[in-house]
Amino acid sequence: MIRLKIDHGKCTGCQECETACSMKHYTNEVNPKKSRIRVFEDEEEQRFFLIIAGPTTTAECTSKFDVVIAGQQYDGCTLCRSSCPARPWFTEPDTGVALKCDFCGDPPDPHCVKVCEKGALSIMEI
Amino acid sequence: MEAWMGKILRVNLSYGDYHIEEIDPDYLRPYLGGRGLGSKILYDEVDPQVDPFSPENKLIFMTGPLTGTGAPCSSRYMVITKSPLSGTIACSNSGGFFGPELKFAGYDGIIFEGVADEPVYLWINDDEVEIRSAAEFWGKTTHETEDFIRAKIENKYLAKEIRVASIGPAGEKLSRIACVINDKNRAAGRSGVGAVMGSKKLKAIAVRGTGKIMLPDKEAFHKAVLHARDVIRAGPVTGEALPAYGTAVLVNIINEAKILPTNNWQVTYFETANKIAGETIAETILKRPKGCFACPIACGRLTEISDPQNTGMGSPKYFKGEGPEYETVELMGASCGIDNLAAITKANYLCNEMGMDTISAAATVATAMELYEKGYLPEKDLGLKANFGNADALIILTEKMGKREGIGDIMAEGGYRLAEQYGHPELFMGVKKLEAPAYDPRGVQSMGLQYATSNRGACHVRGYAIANEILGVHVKTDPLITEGKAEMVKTFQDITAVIDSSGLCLFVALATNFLYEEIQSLINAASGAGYTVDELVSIGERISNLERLFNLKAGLTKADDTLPKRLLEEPGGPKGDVCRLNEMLPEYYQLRGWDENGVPTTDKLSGLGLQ
Amino acid sequence: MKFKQYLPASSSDGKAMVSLKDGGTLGDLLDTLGIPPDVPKLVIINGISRGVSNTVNAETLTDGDVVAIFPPSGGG
Repeated sequence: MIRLKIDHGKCTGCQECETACSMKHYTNEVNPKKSRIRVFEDEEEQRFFLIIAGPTTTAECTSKFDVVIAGQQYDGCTLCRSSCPARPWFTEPDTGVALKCDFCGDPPDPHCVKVCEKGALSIMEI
Repeated sequence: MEAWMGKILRVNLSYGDYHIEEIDPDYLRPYLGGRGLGSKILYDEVDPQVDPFSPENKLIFMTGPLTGTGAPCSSRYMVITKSPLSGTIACSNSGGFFGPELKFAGYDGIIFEGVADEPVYLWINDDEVEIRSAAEFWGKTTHETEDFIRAKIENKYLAKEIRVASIGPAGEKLSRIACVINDKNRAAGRSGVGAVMGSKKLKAIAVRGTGKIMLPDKEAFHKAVLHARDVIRAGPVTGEALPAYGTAVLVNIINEAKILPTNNWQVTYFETANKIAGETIAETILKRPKGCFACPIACGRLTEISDPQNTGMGSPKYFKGEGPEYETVELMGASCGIDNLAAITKANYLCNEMGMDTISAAATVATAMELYEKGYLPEKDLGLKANFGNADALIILTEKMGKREGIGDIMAEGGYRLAEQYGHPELFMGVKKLEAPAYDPRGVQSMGLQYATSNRGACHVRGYAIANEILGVHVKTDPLITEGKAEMVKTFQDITAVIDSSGLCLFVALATNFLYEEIQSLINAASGAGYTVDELVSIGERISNLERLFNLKAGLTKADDTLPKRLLEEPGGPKGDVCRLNEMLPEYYQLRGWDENGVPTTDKLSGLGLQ
Repeated sequence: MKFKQYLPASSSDGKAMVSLKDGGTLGDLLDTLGIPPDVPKLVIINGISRGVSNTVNAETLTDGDVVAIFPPSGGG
């Protein structure tokens, strides 16, 4: 299984990962609010936090069902994080549809990793 | 019209209303966007003779076609107005995240007209536009203002996504060196644009956008972006020096080249410069580099200081913020004879919070120090002994300037008006009343011509000839000769106008050797507009001439294209030379197609479509 | 940071006195300090910015010359 590894210490907060993600997943547009990765600044600690609409643990859940988004089938459980009310970033602002990291296809080729100049993002096999 | 949003928000503060205008593509194309489009609108709509603080002056925020696209360093927006400091056209440039957010909300720019009755701020959340009362936080710092606006938003997720540009106490009190601060520490710094915002009683703009920027050909754009990123990574300046040390990496170099203004430009070498250099910043106060939107360089410095001895005003023991940058650390440091990095950083934080341009504020303190040491400015007026090297004086005077307290009242008017008030305008180091940045033209001749002819006064980012003259980034020229410099300055000025209009940061040009082709490929890939290089070259020239026309109509003349007496008459720099401006200026006028009085000829203007 | 490794042990605050043979060149100075010729990106001699080139490397230095050597740098 592929996961994105985040080294928060290296992030400079430039949000290029957001533009790359939205550009990859939509036709001819850039829109960071539709990105499956988001960057936020902790001003007090002077550091940046990256949040990914990634897979979650296989927690007990009463509403497991498969969901189809843009022709692709997702296990409802892996959508948990993106549809969680505590993570409202990961829905399309205009439609409300949940956003989910798909590692930019198969084989995995995450665009956010490619554009991260400071090496804060990498992929790892687990 | 892709890449541009095609819409401008026009807000009339006197009537308290707004409407949205479509941009005519034929009006836009010859000016590209950003600085070009904003200057064109100002030129067409505002009488250059207008009092900058009157309701008739307009305040224009403008992005470029590349702003927000994700092209490398595509974070910039411009603030265009008539300057209360210099009386010229003002056009200040800032990065951060505010500009891109404005585009995601669906607007290329905002035009503010009139004056509000009561303090207000503009709220933009996509289509939702509202002029709201700022009475509760009028008088607050820029940082407090941003926190206040966020805290008022009920939805905490929405609150996290807004971006704010605001003015601090300096702008409210019409300090002629006030700037607009966005994202807390990024400044549209020069020419006093913050004071115009203050005169309109506009405290802030808060914006959040969930929309998209259209790209006609995603694959082509992606390719152009990756290429530009490779170039930036491979460039020694943008790939190594700026990421590691920030802009202050320049301190030691400029010092060794003996063009580091010291003690208000009386000397050009600072013995202890290393204590305030970028290398020292990286070893001591740097917490983390910070990038603007889509920036692979990240020259910004998140810093922390703890030096209770130099807090001056009895504030807390620890401070966090951003900076200092090269110009700040040099002018607050060497130019004030100060090598206390903590004190300089504290003064920098104060400027950000008060909303003051660090270059102008620092240069004004340096002028005050020389006036004091020469006995022209008495201690009773200053309230302290402001000798060169006095770090406490730097902090205290900066704070007074921001609040217009005591001597700060006249200092808030800028260095020229301070020096004039005390009878020695020759001790003001600047051009067209704009304080000069930190490169002494006596050791780099082209910068003298650049300061003298830049349309907003003494400025380094309107033609960064240092790249060739000192750094030899791609071409190495001899900084001590005047031959060929008129052409160099003209070329740099024109391409800079194009970069400022595109929405890119000037640092892209440091990597791309100031080549039009690199900028062209990004603009065309993003917009599909098919600009030719010749067209871009003429856009740069058109903007330079349009700004010049504004200044001439505002009453400036050839006599304003000059330098402080010190740089023209007192020897300095590595070879004890003066700046030989008279050897370059006539040639510059000629190359520009201007007559001997610096007035664009009819032929030139009609060739550029300005007639 | 790495650039400082070339400083002689006797240096302080990034500065050091270096003795060269009579007629020594800038290239000899780089040799003495163990700096590979492609590492410096900017050389300033007695306050005059010289860039980097073979011509500059072949120039003879004289007693008392102040040479400043920089890695990549720039941008205000």
